[in-house]
Amino acid sequence: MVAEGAPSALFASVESLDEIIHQKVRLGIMSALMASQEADFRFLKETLNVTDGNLSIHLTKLEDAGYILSRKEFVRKKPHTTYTPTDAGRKAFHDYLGALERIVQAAGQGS
Amino acid sequence: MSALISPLDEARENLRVIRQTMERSTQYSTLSGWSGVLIGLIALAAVWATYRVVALRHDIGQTAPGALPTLAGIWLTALILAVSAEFLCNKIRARRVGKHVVSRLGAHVAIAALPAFLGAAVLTAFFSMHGLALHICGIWMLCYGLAISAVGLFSARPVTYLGVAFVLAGAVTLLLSLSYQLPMMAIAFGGFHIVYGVAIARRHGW
Repeated sequence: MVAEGAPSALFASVESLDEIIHQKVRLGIMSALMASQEADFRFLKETLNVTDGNLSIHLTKLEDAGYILSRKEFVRKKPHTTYTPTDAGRKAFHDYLGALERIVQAAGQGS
Repeated sequence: MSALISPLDEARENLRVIRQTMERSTQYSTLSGWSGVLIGLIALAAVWATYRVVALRHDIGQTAPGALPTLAGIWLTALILAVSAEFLCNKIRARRVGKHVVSRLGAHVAIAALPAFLGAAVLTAFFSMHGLALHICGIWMLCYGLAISAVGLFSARPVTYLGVAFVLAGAVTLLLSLSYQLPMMAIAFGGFHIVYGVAIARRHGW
């Protein structure tokens, strides 16, 4: 039996998913940064098990969207980049999480 | 040919990815095997100092009002040395894994451990005022175990095991007579830390 309004709620929730975050690596980056609040390139690479190039592309996309901030410094004469989530990034992550939960709820009501 | 994924399955999978990544990132991944071993050695030195300075001069017990401040002084020094060793080793380790040892997570870890240390300080002062040194070794193990268990919430499983081991050792020590107090301090603060350090080193590296 399908609850009234469940398919439209499901559709609306799927539509509301943020395309920037709705990608495995970028979702992983945002999840890691939301949990640790700050992480560097190496930590993200090891946590997400991705290549340097792949990680760089997705970090740039998130930075361009204003969801993360990078801070570059030199540690023992070597470049060291640290990433933190911005307020917009935090809000986008929470909104995305809310949309996922609404999808699960709407699908549950519809079954 | 790729299978079609329903929005529900995709949402569930993404929620799993989020949960898994956040759990992995929340672990206090700057643990150092060396710090455990060093803390164990500092503790063994403190046990030796306690034996030389306190146990040969006084009984560590109810009849020795002067014993507890000396005992507390030795172990406070050991605590300061241990915290310094922990900080330095973790700082070196953090640099190696690409993290900062002084982070928001590090602050959460320190705040989580603080109440148990404050409890130990208050109980030590109380016992000192009443000239009751007998049970302080067990009390310290219990409080330290509670602090480590709290830190374990943010960290790898061996940290929680270490905390539980201290709580159990503290409970046992409270039941034992005077002559077992120092050996139990050596086993717990010395032995447990060295075993923990080796376990961490095997799992996460030195």
